[in-house]
Amino acid sequence: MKADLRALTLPLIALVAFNLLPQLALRPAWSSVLCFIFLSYRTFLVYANLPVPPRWVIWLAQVVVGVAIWQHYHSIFGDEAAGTLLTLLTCLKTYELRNKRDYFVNSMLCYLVLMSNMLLDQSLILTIYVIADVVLIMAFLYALESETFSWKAMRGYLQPTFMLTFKAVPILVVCFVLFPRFSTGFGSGQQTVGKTGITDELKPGSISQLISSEELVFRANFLKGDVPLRRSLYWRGAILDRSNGLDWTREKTTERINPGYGANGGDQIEIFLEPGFEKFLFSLDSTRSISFPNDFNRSRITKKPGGTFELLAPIQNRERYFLDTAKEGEALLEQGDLARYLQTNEAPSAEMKKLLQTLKGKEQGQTVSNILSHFRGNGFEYSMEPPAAKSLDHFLFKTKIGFCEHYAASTATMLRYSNIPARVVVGFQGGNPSFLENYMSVRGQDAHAWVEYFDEAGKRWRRIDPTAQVNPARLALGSQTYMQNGESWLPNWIMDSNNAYFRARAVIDEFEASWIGFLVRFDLARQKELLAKFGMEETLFRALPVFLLLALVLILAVLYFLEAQKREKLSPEDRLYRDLLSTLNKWKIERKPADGPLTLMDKVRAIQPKMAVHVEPILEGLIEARFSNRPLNRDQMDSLSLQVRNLRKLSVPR
Amino acid sequence: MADLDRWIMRENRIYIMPTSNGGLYLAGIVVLILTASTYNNNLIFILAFFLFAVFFVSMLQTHYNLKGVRLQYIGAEEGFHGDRIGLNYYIVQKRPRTKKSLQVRSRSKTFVTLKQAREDMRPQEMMKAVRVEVRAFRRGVHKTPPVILETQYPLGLFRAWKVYRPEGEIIVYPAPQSGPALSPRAFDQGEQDQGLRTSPDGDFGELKNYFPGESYHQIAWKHYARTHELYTKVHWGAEDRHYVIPWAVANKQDVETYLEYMSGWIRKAVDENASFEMETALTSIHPGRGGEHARLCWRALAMVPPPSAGRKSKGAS
Repeated sequence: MKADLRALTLPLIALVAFNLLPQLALRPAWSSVLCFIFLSYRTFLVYANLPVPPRWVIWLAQVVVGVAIWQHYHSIFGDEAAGTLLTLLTCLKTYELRNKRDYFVNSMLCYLVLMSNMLLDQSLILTIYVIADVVLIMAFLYALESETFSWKAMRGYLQPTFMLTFKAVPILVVCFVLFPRFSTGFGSGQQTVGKTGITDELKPGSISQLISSEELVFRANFLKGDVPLRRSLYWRGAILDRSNGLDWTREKTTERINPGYGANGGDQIEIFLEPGFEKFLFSLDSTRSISFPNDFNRSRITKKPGGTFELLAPIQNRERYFLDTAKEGEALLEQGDLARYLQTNEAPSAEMKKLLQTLKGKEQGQTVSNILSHFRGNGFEYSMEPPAAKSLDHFLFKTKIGFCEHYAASTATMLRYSNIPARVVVGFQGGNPSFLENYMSVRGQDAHAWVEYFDEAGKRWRRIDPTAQVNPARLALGSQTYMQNGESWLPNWIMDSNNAYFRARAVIDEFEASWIGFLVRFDLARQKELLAKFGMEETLFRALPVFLLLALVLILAVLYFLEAQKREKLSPEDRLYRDLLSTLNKWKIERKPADGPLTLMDKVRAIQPKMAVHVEPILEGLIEARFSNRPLNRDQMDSLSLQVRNLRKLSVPR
Repeated sequence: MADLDRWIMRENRIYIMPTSNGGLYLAGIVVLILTASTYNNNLIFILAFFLFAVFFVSMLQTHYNLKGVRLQYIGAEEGFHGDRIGLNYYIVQKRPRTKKSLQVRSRSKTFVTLKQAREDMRPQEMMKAVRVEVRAFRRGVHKTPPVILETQYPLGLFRAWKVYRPEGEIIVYPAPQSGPALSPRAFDQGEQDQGLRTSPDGDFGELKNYFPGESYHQIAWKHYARTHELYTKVHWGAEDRHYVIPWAVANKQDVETYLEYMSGWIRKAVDENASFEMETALTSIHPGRGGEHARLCWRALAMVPPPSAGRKSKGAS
């Protein structure tokens, strides 16, 4: 006996389509187009009342999808490949709806598609979307269980869904807090490639490409003290030590320095690093040590020559780590092997030699100062879209228009020509401070390149920023403000709308930061910390499953009690009628389902004739209340209610 | 075995288990938790725990949807082997509650449920009549099958059920088959034992003794008013159609097939409005006519024990 579930096909297709919305942003465009085609054709079949294609066609489509995934990702495993495959197969599954189980499986696939999207994004917007999607899937399951669907009855499916959601929240909270966070021991098995961001080479244009990105790179939460001045925050990503004129790269080295680990009593900065930015752990030059909340992550960190920190493998998830920095922001960079910071691939040209000769000072500091000063005036300009510079000489003597990478690369090379150890540092400068909290958001547009040289007199590395010589406003205002006021890649209508766009983004960013902070912070360490607050010792931590079980039983008991207390809403006349029937039942007058009030009246007359005189006025009143167009007033209802109550007290003649 | 079943499945007690869909749902949650742990992804943990919470609460709701609901057996219709037989029940609830997707189906090795009942109950409904349609695997007098009152509301993740074992019998007649032709027996002169009388009014050919089950329309009321004796009017042309349905199972003949032939002859007699009498291994039925008489005969056929239950059949002996 099969129920006719065809009415549920269109809602299911709509559900799958809604489920695939994040796909537009997270998956390749061709997969979105395929999904659209699959779902559109399925919708057409429903409207045209045509049969679905034979099963071999669906199998063929599945094979084609698998091949397309392989072509794109060279694998069908891994987060993105498997996620994309899952979304496409979910669309194809809508062609295989033969029984209730198929509909159920399709809605379960929607949950898995949701999960695959969450692997790629956990933003606030996605979270809001997830809530809506989960509610819709559940409402669909309600409709599926009732084996009917009507768009007009959506409220009937949504209302119990909301009630169920409401009841589920306490269990969700208890599970979230008490469920022991364990490691499965599996890696994600995917080689993440940096999508955008800092790399270990610098070429003209590499930073200026990045600066057009509003994508969040990391958030820095200053746990002690205020947020420092933006101009003092240089987030070091990678040290580039091989000069090739304007191009800089990093020497391949296996050298690793054991990183300082743990908190050493300095100022703590908590960093929430977004995935997709290679393996760099951004730090300040005042960083003494770096640490992760969970000690098992310790072995993942390495410190590179030049004092930058990296993960051994590219990050795949959002990571949280702490920087322990020296007070007053004092730079703590080790001297290292200075010879490697003097290498140049090419000898300076005659024109360069002549320039360096003019810039040479009596002391090292004077030379550095002269080189920097050379960029102030002398026709140098700052631009985010500089003309192509073929070489260092071409930039310095011909185009003279450049971005931070041009100035950093040329300054460091000129310093090396002058026999001063120097290196280019790539990373981020500044960030956008939060309105409410002590953190800064650092985005792609804050990408920057600057120079460090070794000060012989002070025996320490010093940071210089040649971009500040050319365009001081860029550093003082921050990239965002600078771009709002000056040169911008954004359309004019956005810039003209009184910066509403940036303000709105900042507000969203506040919420997002809090949400992401919550999501990332609640790990094993935080779980232990939280439970310790409730007096749960470390030794009791192993008993968490028991506590979880007890909590669930307790919630079950409370919910059951609440359910038992629930009173259905009956109209006053229905309530009175029920009370009357209950009394008549005691008098052995049984109402059959088909019995109306008049039949009941006849039964009373036949079985308890002496009581009929009491029952008749009540039944007449109830018939009046129920079936006439003139509802009874309150006094009449009160009178009927009193009569029903009195009826219970009467002794029944035998 | 039946006792064990009776002991395990007590009447009116609620039992609850996840459905296969519930198992699938739970497997999905496990996948989510493993993924969340692998990627240390709290958002997926939240989704997994939410789904688990829904699973948990839906268990409660499924159980509660059946609480306070009882099933009362009204009775069963009689029918032929192979036909749909209706079993009638009341779903009764004591407290005013909304109950959704209550399903009733029989649970028996003798019957297969063809149409199970599916009803919602509103708070103002104390009882609701439901009908389950079954088909018997064989003819006979069967015990009323145990019946399951169940629900999978709200999400189909759990199935809560109650078992009822109503007392009663369901009579399943042998399916009428057209077998060898049975010739009507003509009335002879000496057949006064049939109670044939000459019509006092002359409107009808004959009167014969009334047998219970015969149509009231055929009763000679005027004659009854005068004599206070019940006679049935026999029309001209019909009076000579009388069938004697014999119990004459040949030695190697299949009893069940023969019963089906007998069932077919009864139907034929009823269709022709002929009188008929019948004999079975257990009983013989006096001549009579009409639907009620036919039912009497069919019941007698249903009661003939199957050959495996002991060969008492006269014809077979």
